[in-house]
Amino acid sequence: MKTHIFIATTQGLVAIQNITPIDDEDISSVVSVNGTSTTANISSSYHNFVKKGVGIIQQMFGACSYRVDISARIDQGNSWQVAMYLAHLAQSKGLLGNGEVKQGDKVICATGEVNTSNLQVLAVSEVALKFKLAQPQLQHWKASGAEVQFLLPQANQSDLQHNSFTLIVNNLEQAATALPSSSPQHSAANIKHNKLASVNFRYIIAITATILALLMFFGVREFTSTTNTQQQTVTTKDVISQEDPSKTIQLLAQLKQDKSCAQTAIKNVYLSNQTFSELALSQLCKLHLKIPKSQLQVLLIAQDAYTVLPLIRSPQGWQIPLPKNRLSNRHYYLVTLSQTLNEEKVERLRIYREAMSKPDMLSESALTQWLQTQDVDFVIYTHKLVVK
Amino acid sequence: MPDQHYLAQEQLFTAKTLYRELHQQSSEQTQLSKSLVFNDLVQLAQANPKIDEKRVMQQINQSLTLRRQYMQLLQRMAFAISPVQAAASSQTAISSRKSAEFELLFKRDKQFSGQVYVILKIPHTAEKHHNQGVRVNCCSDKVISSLHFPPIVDGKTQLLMEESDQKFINMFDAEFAIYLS
Repeated sequence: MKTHIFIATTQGLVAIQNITPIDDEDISSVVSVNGTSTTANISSSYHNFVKKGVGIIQQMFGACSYRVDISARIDQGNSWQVAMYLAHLAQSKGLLGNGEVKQGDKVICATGEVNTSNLQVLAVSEVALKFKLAQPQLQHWKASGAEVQFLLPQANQSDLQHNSFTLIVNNLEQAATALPSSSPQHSAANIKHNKLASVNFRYIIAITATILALLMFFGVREFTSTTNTQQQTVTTKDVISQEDPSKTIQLLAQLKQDKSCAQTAIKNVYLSNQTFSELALSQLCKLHLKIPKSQLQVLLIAQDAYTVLPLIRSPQGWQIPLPKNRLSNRHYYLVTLSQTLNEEKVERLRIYREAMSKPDMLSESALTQWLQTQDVDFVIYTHKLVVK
Repeated sequence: MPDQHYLAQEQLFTAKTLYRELHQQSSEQTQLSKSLVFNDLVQLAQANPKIDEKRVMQQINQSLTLRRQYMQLLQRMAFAISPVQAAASSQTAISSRKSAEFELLFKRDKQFSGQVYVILKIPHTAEKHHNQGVRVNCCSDKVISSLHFPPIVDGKTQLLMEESDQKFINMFDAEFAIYLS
């Protein structure tokens, strides 16, 4: 079952046929018509919608540029933004259809602009006309066995009489619930997870720090580590530290056993000279870092991007978010700290990082120098995820 | 000295042609004046995106006089020039063109074979490049082709083109000079 995303325009519905990550800093994001070299006039707006700092797509889905193929020209306006966000979300879940609706498929038509700061869905014009033009097609799809929804901004609620197709949305979190198997909680978590470097991220850090402080205060021991039978069988092939795990550092990778991540095996990644051995991105499902109890915080600092990310602790360990874009190698540092750097200091590290004209200018020695100024014990580990 | 002499001759020729255009009605001018005026050439050379590029370029390439006039305008108005490239072999296709003012390169689309992203980087842009874009004129002895790039964003602009497009071929042909306006 595929989910087809359509942009409701004043000329009728326009299908989002395909999204391809380009992820080349030289190439700007582009919207092309029907897979041809004809580009839509909204290309430059879409480029801004993707671009980190101005837009949201790169921050949420990883690649710095994308090519989107749509079925007809869109010349102006920003009401394509909600649909484009949903298409990216569907693409990231492997659900995006090509606009050719079949029985049992889901169809989402959307109109709405996005406030890229707070992710609210903003009002747009001509909603009644857009719905009127879309209605015959919506009815046809419904009659042929597809599930159909028409998303419109809450601020445009009065423009349209409520009917069986309409879904009123106020923000992207609500819009994401329109996708199959995307519960509100999941969508919220997903958005927050992907927006870690944004405003929401600060709240997550504050909450995490508070929880950690409370745990320490009440003397609660380390989260119990889960015992996985698969782990034990697989790790016999790999190098396992013979020391007490609570005193050592372990990078645990969950690797695919077949085409999907339904069945995984855990690999303890070999560590030498504070460098973990490379892992193939294509095989990777999850990645966790286990550290000694004396270490209270882990920072992930990308070497090939400006990302500075305090990791979140889970029962399995400190969870390392995997890149959405798996088309290029990813090199990063993991810094374990004996004391928690507060939000302000993390922000200062981020600013220090962004002051570099290119992300790959960050060296281990430069990072060491900065951390030494923070009066905190730390250890830097390096790791690379590779495309194989 | 011979170059200066030639330049003076060319300027004189152009001035005379312009004078004729204003005061006389030659058969060629009569035909062209129905659809093309000198200001069209100026607007095209100035990278005005509203000009009917296809029509004007077609007429320029059909008339030696217009081509000469347009070349003169480009030499005056272009903010960056990449001359005909010296080729060390018979292979005339090149992968990029660089000058102090710009860099022109292309990258192939990984999904759609035959499509290329042509990227124009201009580190020091003028205000008009952000508003109306940049015109890239590819000029050889025989033909001029012209392409309009969208407004510059973050120091660069790009076009998605077919690799077989003659305009794309001309851009990366060492035997074509490039004028940016």
